[in-house]
Amino acid sequence: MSARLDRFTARLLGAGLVIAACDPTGGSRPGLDWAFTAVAAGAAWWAGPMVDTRPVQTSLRWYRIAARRRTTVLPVAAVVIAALTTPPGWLAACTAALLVAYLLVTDLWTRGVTAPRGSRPVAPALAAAAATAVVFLAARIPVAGTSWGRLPAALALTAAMACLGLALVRRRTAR
Amino acid sequence: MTAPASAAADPAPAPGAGPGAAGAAAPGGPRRMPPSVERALGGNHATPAEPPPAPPAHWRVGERALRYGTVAAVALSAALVTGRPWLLALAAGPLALLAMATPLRGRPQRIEATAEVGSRRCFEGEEVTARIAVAHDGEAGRLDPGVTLGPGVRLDALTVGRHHLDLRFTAERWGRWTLGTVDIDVYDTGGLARRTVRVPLGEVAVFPVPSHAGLTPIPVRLPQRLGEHTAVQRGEGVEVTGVHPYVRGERQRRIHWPATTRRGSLQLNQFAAERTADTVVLLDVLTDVVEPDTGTSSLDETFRAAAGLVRAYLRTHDRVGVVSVGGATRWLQPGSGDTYFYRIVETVLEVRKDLAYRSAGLDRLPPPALPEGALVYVFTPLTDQRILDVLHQVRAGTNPMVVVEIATGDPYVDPDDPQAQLALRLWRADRQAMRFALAERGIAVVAHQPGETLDLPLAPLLRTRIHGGTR
Repeated sequence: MSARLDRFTARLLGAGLVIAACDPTGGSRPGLDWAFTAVAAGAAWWAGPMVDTRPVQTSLRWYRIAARRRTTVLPVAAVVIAALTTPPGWLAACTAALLVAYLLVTDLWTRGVTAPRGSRPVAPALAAAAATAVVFLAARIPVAGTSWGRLPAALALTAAMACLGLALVRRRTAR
Repeated sequence: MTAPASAAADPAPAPGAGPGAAGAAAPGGPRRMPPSVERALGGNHATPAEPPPAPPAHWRVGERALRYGTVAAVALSAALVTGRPWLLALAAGPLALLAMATPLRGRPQRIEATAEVGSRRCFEGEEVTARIAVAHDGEAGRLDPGVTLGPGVRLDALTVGRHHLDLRFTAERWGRWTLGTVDIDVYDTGGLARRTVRVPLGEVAVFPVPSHAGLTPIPVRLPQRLGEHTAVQRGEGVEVTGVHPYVRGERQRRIHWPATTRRGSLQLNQFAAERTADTVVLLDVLTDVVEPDTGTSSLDETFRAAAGLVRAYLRTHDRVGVVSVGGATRWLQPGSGDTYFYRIVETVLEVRKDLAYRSAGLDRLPPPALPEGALVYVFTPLTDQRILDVLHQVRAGTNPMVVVEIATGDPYVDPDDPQAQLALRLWRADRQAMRFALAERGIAVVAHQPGETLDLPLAPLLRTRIHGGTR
């Protein structure tokens, strides 16, 4: 994939992520919501492509640092906006999917200048997508406030403990 | 020469990442840097006054971990604050990516980097290659170099391998320059943490490319040493200057038969002596005038022209010395031979070390640097009147002297500023007055245009021999 196509993809995903997080159709003041969404999408279009520079501090001014780390600021802003709005289920799913896709497309480690040529590993992408899907589906089960709510909570706790234990065991055996 | 740099950290290895990008300079047209070079230079092609502060000698969090961690932390906080469980899904993706990137084993404890530079001596425009080998006790991830260039050099290509870096520089200006400093970020196998190793590349000596020069004017008096210049004295050369009556003991094969027949007595050919010339090149490094239009440095052109003249005289087996005035006075007694060219250049190569002038005032010229009767070429842009004092010292020694004026453009002034216009007129008048003062003292002044052959201004001096002054 050419660099130009990479940049376009990142812009598209970034703008889509912000639009999905803004939920322009759900507000009480449609005109203002659409205007805010348009401005946010424009900013996301600019901030979308990855900034492939070495991690050295060139300035102490906050706006320069923010501009340099805009591929981090963009998903963080999308998460905050999504938390402030109340998107419908399908839009929340789109937001989660777009967030994972954007993080993967703008990952300097796999797509930057220093990244090795050739095929990119798909396992991290699959794992991230699977984790997001599982958590999202678990979060959408309408069991809150019922006696069934303890089951997913216990499963989530068990899964988290299992993951932590596996990671520690792998690390110890590797040493 | 090697420049070691070492460090210590955590435990060991994991499968590393592949090679980085290689670069090559784009031929012709506007110069476009390869992406790897752009990244290594950080978009900063200007030479900093000094390298950036030394990086910390420990592992620290990488950009990737910071990014995923920030997004996940914000999503988790948002879920807790708002009480909306679906926001946890936004944290799950980054956390999964973080978990997948975590190295299975520890990071290298010791990292060492050594630099080898191909040649530390070169001429302007030539390439200098450097190779940095990175060794560590385990298996690390990829290398991410950052280069802080020294003055006078340009980075053309950078190849990043698994355990080494290859850099190709081009020396742009003469001088003894610091080649640069390379900060190598060594990442763990997942790119979540990095550690920086600094490798200084040391210095290179860049010799000026001599201007073309072939003419070698000579003074009236030549020293008593065999050479290639025809002297006015009688001698054993090959140029016939006349005939003279035979004196007992002279070689009969030199009999000039036509004159012998005409005069009725033996007449012999008379030959001129062939002598070497002593030449001293005096460099004015009091000021460096940068032409506003082209950015040409008068000091650069001074050395190129002087190097061309030195080479021309050394080719005719003359003895050449050098004196530089401005800052510390550097000098070398006249000598001859092909290798003497490099000694002469190295003597004055440090007059501008990393663009820092050493100005401790003007000293008296050392007498051994100016042998009696030596022809003195003074290369000067005629912008600092202190050079007149130096010329007065030379003239007091009755040395024949030629002033080669290095032409420089006028400084840029605002055309709408009347005071600046007056200052410019004053500046021009000042230089004109210096030329007049030299001409009044009977000193030959020739003007050398940068980039042109030095033979053009020196050709008129061949019509006659250059006279020295009087005590």
